[in-house]
Amino acid sequence: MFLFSLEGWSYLRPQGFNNFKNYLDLLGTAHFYSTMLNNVIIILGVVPVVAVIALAFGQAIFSRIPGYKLYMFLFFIPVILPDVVVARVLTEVLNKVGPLNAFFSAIGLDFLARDWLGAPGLALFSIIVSLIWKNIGFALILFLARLTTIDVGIYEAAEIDGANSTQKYFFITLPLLSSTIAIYIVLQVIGLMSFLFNYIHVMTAGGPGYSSTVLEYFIYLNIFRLQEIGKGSAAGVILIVLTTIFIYYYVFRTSRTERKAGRQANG
Amino acid sequence: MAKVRQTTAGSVLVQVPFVIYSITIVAMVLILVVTPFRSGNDLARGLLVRPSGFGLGNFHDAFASGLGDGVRNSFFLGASTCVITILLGGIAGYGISFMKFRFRKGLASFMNACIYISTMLIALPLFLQYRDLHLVNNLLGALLIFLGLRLPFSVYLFKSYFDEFSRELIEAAKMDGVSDLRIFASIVFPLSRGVVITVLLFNFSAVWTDYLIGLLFLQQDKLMTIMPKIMYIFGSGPMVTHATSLGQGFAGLFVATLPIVVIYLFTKKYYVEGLTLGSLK
Repeated sequence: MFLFSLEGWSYLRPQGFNNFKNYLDLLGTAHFYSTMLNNVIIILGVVPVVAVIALAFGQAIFSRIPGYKLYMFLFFIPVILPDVVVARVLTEVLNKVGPLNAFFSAIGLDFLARDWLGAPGLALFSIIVSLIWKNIGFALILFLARLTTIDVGIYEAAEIDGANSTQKYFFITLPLLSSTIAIYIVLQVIGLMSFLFNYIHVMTAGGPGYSSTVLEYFIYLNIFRLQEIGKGSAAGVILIVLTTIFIYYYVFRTSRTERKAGRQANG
Repeated sequence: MAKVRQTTAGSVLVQVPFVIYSITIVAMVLILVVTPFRSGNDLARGLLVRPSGFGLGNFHDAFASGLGDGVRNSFFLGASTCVITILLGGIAGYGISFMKFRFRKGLASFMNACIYISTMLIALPLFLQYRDLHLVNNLLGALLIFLGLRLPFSVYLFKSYFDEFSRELIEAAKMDGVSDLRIFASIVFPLSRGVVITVLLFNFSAVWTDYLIGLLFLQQDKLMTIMPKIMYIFGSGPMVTHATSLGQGFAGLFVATLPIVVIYLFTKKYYVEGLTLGSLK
């Protein structure tokens, strides 16, 4: 891939080293920057929202609010549904004449009816909302799994010291969850940077224009649609470099905790 | 008394976001389940038109449009991937976990890292090689790609599981001069039911729901996998909605989702295990 990014290409055949021309081309492409910006917007739009919602849901389910079993069952459904299925159904739902707009006019909110996937500013927003909808369950699973391993003794001790439930949450639960939250953020960021193709391709094809193109889709467009192998590869190298930072952090973290666990097991 | 009322008001308020999110999920499931059974004429007038009748016509049409090929190809690829990744992944996981060799830890971390590399980045160099080797539009060629994509996850999952295995048992067997392959086949593997199910579940779902690899590497009508096939039935291009193909497309989505949901219902426990892999320690 790296070598590809350095070569000139003609009809899918490499033509030899071309002095970083691909990178210069890439940096000279105006919508490359908007693509990178879209990536950032998606990450900032999805990750914090999902994390906060999932933390709140997780705490409520953990404290066994009425109906928590039903909610657990329901909330996992978006997680197991295939990307393409979710994306295709939502494309229908968000259609200009689709159910969502019909719903808005039925409850008298006509002014909210929009062409959700067809308007430049809105397409990216709609994708972000779809991704939030899809990923809440994933974060919830991670957080709940951590919550169930917390030693109840800590809470009892805090109660004896007179801590109220807000204090317990912010001074005990949240710090104990912090490493799980970090892992969630890293996994989600990797997912949003590297595994978004299905949504973009099915819902908007990066459009209208380039308004919902992300780096991964930009690579696809350049390589497989526009036959700009060199430019696409250069963008690919940038994606590798960016994701490697997160992957490295994740792998480093898991292997370190494994070593720690191993030491404890060996006494 | 006042306190009691307060807490009830609070707990009702807590329910609100839960109910809203639940409604969206139920709506999604309803659309997914009901739409394929509605007649094409109704759907042409929009998803919310009052249905004039239900029937299996869409499924009939979808299979006539080649949905069956998609199902068959995806099932073949998914099942083969599962069998091979379980065998190879199990053996490799055993090796990394129980045998001592150089760069063992590095190899494990490398496998872990490979799981998260974007498929798109793997697709380009592979596509160029496959074109030169004439492996594009070849089911076995696609199978090789899926194996490559799923093995790191499989190896790493097996390895994590074996790491918690009793060392004494293995050491004792080794003392008695039992070969590694024999230990794997008759002691370790039979005790790994849980991890085998997890690998099976995730690898099958991943291949079954794949879109990108199928789209790029299996473009011929007869060879398409299920997801590209469905999008093809829908009339491909996003934003283009051919009213007549809407029902067929939804029938396809229904057929594609059903096995995933059924597998999930039977293997819920393992699903959570796989998702939380490595994130909880």
